[in-house]
Amino acid sequence: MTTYNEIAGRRVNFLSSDPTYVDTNSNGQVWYNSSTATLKSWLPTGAWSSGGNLNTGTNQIAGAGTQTAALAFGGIPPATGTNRTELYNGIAWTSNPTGLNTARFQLGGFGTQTAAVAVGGGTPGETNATEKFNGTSWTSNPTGLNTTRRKMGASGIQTSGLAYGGFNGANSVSSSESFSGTTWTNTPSLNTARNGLTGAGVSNTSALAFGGAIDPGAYPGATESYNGSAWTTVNSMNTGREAMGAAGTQTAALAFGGIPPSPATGATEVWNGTSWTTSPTTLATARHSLGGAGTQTAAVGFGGSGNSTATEEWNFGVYSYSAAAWASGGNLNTARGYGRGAGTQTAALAIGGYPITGGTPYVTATEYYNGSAWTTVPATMNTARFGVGSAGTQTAAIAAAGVNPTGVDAASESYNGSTWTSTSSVNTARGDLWGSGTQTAALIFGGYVGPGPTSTATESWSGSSWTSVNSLNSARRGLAGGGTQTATIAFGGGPMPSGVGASTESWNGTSWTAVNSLTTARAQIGGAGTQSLAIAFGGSLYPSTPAVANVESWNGTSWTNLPSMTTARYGFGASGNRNSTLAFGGATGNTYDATVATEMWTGEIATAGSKTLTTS
Amino acid sequence: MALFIYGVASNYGKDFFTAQDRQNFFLRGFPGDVWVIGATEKGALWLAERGVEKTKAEAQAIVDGEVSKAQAAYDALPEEQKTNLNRQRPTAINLP
Repeated sequence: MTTYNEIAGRRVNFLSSDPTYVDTNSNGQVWYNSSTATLKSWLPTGAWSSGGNLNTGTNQIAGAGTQTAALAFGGIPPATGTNRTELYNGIAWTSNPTGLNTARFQLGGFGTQTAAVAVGGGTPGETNATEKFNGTSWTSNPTGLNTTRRKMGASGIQTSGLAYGGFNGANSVSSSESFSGTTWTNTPSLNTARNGLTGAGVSNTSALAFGGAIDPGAYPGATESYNGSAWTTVNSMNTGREAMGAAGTQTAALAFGGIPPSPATGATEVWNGTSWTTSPTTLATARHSLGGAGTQTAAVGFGGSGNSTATEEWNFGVYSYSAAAWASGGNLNTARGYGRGAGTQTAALAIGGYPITGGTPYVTATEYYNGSAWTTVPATMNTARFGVGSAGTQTAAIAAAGVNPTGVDAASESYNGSTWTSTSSVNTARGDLWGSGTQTAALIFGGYVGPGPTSTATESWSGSSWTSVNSLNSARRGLAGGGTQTATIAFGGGPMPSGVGASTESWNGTSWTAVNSLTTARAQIGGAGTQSLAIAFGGSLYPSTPAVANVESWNGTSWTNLPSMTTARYGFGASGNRNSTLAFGGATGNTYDATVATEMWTGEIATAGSKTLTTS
Repeated sequence: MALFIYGVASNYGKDFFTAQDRQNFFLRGFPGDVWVIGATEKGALWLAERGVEKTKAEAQAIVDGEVSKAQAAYDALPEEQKTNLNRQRPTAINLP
């Protein structure tokens, strides 16, 4: 009988606990865990999950960068080509204010999000135009490709790239060119002329070309490897196709999507430097002509046929995944409704609040959250109140306006990690407003000026004084938001008690603009995030429903639903961001009694985990 | 027992489906926000939280409508653009 040592060239380790997973070199390691009496291994698997959607559905698009810092550019529509450029941060795409100088489709792309190259393509006629992106804008390169083409393979970095194969308007071509960062130089040709191929690689001396259509329409899945002096034919793909997305390097590549079969495939193949292996998992949305970026183990695919906006993220490793969900956190020491927050999910500050109907005095206690428990700190606010506008971090925050036991307040206080210090007051006394920004550069907006009218007032904090700036378009209280002093999103709230609203407004540093509304109108809502990526949760449909658990996600353009909170509530504090959020306190029913309950929202997390092979 | 359930759900992006979801049940997206989901408890819960269940015939009709629209858009293109797009006319999709 063949032994494991004879097959793997190493023996099975006898260990009392699982070893540490280091990197991909750990893959395949087998050990016997004597504590659990199990034979275990690091067995990598791959999986696609959804990422943030492109802002504009785009086919025949190009890409560059990594899974968490990707760039998408060019494509259709319109049929004559677009110059659209979008940037991805691993969660959402942002439209770049400026696009390619030459609108085009079926172009090549390589490099990073801040140093990319766009090359060739259709306009609709073939172009040799080359442009370089610096993270902000595209600049036309003085010289273009020597062979005008589209549907080529392209790979490398901005100062060391390659373009190979493609379609010259009449035929598939085999020519290959090397980019130095300024000029293109002809290099040895591919062995097989083709178009619609895809490529991977890190320089102009190291690349892999794969797939594509050979005239007049065969798809053999041909793969060639380039070493800086010649292309060498290596093992072909398992599913021959064109117009794939791709990522990776010459020795560790990933291919996904493409055509045929018609109308598209979601097939995913992994290249290990020698051969292609078909992954048991496929893109959830089969498509061709999509963009790709990243590595063999952490890639992103986006756009494609059907003018898709869909983005999918590929992760390959020994990971197990925790689903995106709300989970309970540690309870506040002091129950509080209409408290406010600052900081992050794991380093939060609880500010002020209103304890129990007709009960104890308004809350001055300040609490810290460390990701699992709240601790009351010695510092207390100088003015007890609830519903302030807050901003900043756990140890550097500002709390402005709010409601004290006699009515709305104009007081402002700054927290430095140990004490609250009174600052100059806001211009418009009000309560149940919201804030964004930092301790020294904040924005407060909305509220009610009591006892009835709601407010549109917006004020900007310089670190020393509050200045009235342009007002919200829609007067409201019980709203929420997130962002910075110059880029904030505000949503929900309403002219309570006469109603609640869904309106959303975006602040650009000068004025508010109405944008797409929440799916569910509500007030006394919670929120966190940025102008382009936010989360809205809970709230009240007053007077019809005291509290709701609805959660929505803002992608800079529109709201969509996320899994609900465990406990419906309104008038609570919040901190964090779209992917890592904290909600604490608030009220859950008609009694207005405040709760100590805390919930934490976390997006999906991948964790290294071993596989049990046998148990003995 | 049916292998799949069918539904309509708008892909809102991040966390719409997770890697864990993909490991838990079959999931395929089609034009018209149509999704074919493995007929498991986790698959059914996923759809219930994100969209509306349809019969296979209803889902197929939505996909057919989207393909028809894509075909009409393709047919309306000038011949030159059809060549430049270098793509065939969109073809029918049969749901599993």
